[in-house]
Amino acid sequence: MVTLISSEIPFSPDQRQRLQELSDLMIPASEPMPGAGDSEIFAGTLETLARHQELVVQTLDRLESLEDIQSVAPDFAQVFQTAVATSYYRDDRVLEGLGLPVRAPYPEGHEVDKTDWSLLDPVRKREPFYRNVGWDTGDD
Amino acid sequence: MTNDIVDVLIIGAGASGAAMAWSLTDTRMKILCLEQGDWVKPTDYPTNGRDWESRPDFAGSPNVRCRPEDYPINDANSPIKPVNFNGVGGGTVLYMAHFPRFHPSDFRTKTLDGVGEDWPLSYGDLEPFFAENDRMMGVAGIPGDPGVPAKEGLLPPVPLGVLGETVANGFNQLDWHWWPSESAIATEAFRGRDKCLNLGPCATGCAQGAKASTDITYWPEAIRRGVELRTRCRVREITVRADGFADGVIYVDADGIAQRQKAEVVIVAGNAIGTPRLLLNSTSNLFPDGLANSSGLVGRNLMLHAMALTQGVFDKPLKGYQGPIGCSLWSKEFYETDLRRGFARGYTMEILRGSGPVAAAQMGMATGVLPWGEGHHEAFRQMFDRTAAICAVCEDLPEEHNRVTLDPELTDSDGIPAARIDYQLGDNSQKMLRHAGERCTEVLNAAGAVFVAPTITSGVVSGHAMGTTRMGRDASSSVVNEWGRSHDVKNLFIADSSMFVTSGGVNPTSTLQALSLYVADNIKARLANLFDD
Ligand SMILES: Cc1cc2nc3c(=O)[nH]c(=O)nc-3n(C[C@H](O)[C@H](O)[C@H](O)COP(=O)(O)OP(=O)(O)OC[C@H]3O[C@@H](n4cnc5c(N)ncnc54)[C@H](O)[C@@H]3O)c2cc1C
Repeated sequence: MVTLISSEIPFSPDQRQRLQELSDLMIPASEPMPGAGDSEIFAGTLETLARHQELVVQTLDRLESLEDIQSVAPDFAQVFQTAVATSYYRDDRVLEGLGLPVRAPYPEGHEVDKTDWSLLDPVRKREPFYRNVGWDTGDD
Repeated sequence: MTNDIVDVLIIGAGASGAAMAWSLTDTRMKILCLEQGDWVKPTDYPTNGRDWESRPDFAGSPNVRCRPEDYPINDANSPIKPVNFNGVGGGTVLYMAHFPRFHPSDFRTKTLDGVGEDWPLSYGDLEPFFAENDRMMGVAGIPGDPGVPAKEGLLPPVPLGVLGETVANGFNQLDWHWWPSESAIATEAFRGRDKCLNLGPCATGCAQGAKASTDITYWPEAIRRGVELRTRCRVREITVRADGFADGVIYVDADGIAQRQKAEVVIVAGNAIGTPRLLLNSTSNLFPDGLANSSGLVGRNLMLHAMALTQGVFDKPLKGYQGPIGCSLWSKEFYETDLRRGFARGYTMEILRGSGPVAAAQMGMATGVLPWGEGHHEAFRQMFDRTAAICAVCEDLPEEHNRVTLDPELTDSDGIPAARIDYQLGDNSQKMLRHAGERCTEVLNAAGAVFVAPTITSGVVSGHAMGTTRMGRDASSSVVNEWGRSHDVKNLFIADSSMFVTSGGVNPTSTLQALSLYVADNIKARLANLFDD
C-alpha cells in the first residue's frame, strides 16, 4: 500500500522523528492496538504528509514543543490528523482490534436487515403538504 | 489536425451530456461527445481493495485527486469546497445517488416568496422528462410521500438499516415528516445492472455497478445508437465564424496535441463550473468577454447549496457503514417557505449512513468528538458505528457576486486557465443554516443521541454547482433562452445545471438530467428552424 520509497520522503531524519513522536502522542499504543507511530502505520502517514511538505516543514521549524499543537498550529493539526487517521484505521491489526472485517467491501458487501415499513404509518396519515403550484408556466 | 465535421458536438460526458447524447440519437444526426477524462473500469474502484478509504485518485476534490484530466479549482475564497469527477459519467461516478426532484415551488420563488427569480419553465414542463430519466437511471423508493408530487415506477426501496430506523423514530417522536430517500440505485436487477450489495461508500464509485452513473446507464445505449464518445479530449475553446455562429472547438488530445473539430451545433455539458470556465476561455474579436456573455452573467449567480452537517452519537451500534452512505431517509418538514422561521425558502434533511473507520476518525477529530492522546481508543469505540449524521441541504439564492472566473495563475495540465470561485453565504442562507442545525440537533436528540456535536457549516464540500449560465427569456438577464439555446450564439446550447435559475433545497442531478432531456426534446422539435430568432 505504501508506494513512496524512503529516499523520496521529503523530510529530514529529525523531522521524521518528531512526526513519529507526534503520531504516538495522537494515538498511543494500548493493547491490542498499536500506536500511530508504529513503523508500518507511520510510513503510510508520511506518504500523505509528503503532499503537504511546505506546511509540515514550516510548522515543525517554528514549533518548540509538540504539546498544544491543535491550538498553536490548527492548519497543520488538521492535515496531520487526517493523514494519521487515514493510515492508522486501515491497518489490519487495528481493524482486528476493533472487531471489524479485514477485507475490502467488494465483492461480499453487507446484508442489511429488511425494514419494517410500519414505521412509516404516522407519516402516511399526513395529507400532501408540498406547495402544489406552478405545474404550468404562469399558473400559480 | 482537423477532423470530419459533425452535426452535433457535446462537450462533457457526465450526467447531463449523457442524457443529451442519448436523447438526440432519435434524430439520426452525427453526434460526437468530447470528454476530457477516461472511462473508469469497475475493477478500478477503491472498494475492490483494502485501501478503499484512502485513495486520493478517487477523492471528490479535483485539487486532491490531481489526475492529469482534472482541472484545479481555486476555492480559497469559498466556505464551501466544490467536488466533482472528470471522466465518462462525470460527477455521477462519485455521487451518492440521492435522487430527489426539485419541487414545483422551486420554479416560482420570485412569485411565491419574492426572492430569487422565476424559471421560464415549470415543474409540469419537466415532469415527463423526470419520468423518462427515472426509467433510464432506475430509482428506488416508496410511492406516496406526502412531501413531494406523486411518481410511478419506483424500484423497491433501499432498506433503512438500524441507523435509519433509529433516526426515523426520532422524526416520529416529533411528528415531523420523513420518507425513505429516492435513490438512483438498482435494488433489484435493472436494465443489465446487478442489484446493490450494500458496499457502503458509494461516493468513491460503485464496483458492483448498482449505482446509476451515466457510464453504465445512458452511455452504453447512446453508443449502441451511434454516438461517438472520444475520451481524453479536453476542449480548450469554442471557435466562432465571422457571422457569430459557433463552428466547432479546439481540443487537446491525450498526447497533448491540439486538434480542430468542426460542428454544426455545439452543446456544453461541462457542469456549472466547467461550462462557464470554457465559455470564458473562448474569447475572440466578436466575443472579447467570453462566448455568450453579452449579459455579463457567464459565471455569475453561482449556487453551491449551503450545507449544515450535524452528527449525533448513540449508545448502540448502528451498522451505519453497511448500505449506501447517502441514501437512507429524507425529511421535507422544512422545505417550503414559512416566513415565521425568519428566512425564505427551505431545506431537505438528508440522513447519512455512517462511514468506515478512516472517515469516521477523520470526521470525529474534525468535530472534536474524538480526542488525541490517552482517551482516543475509548472515544473511538464509543463513537464508531454509533454516529448518525444529518446533512441539511439548504437552498442558496442566486447572487451575482457569487461567481466562477478564470484564475489568473492556476492552469490545468495542458496550460489552460483553471476556474476560481468566489462565494459567500448570503444572509438568508445563514439564517437557514442556523435553523437547520437546531432542527437536526433536535431530531437527533429525539432519536436518543447521547451527544450531538456542534453543526458544521464551513469547509463542507458540495458537488452541487448551479446557476452560472442561467436561463430566461430576457437576453440582458440570462445567458440561454427558455429551451437552453444561447441568446448570443444561435447554434450554441447548454445542457447542464449552469442553466438553473434557483437552486432548490435538494441534490440537483435528477432535475438537471430532466432539464437536459427537455432541451434535447426542444432541439428535436425545432430542427427545421433551430437557429431562427
Ligand atoms: C462526491 C459527490 C457526491 C454527490 N452526490 C450527489 C447526490 O447524492 N445526488 C445528486 O443529485 N448529486 C450528487 N452529486 C452531484 C452530481 O454529481 C452532479 O450534480 C452532476 O454530476 C452534474 O452533472 P453535469 O452534467 O452538470 O456535470 P458532470 O457530471 O460533472 O459532467 C461534466 C463532464 O464534463 C467534462 N468536461 C468539463 N469541461 C470539459 C472540457 N473543457 N473538455 C472536455 N470535457 C470537459 C468533465 O470532465 C465531466 O466529465 C455529487 C457529486 C459528487 C462529486
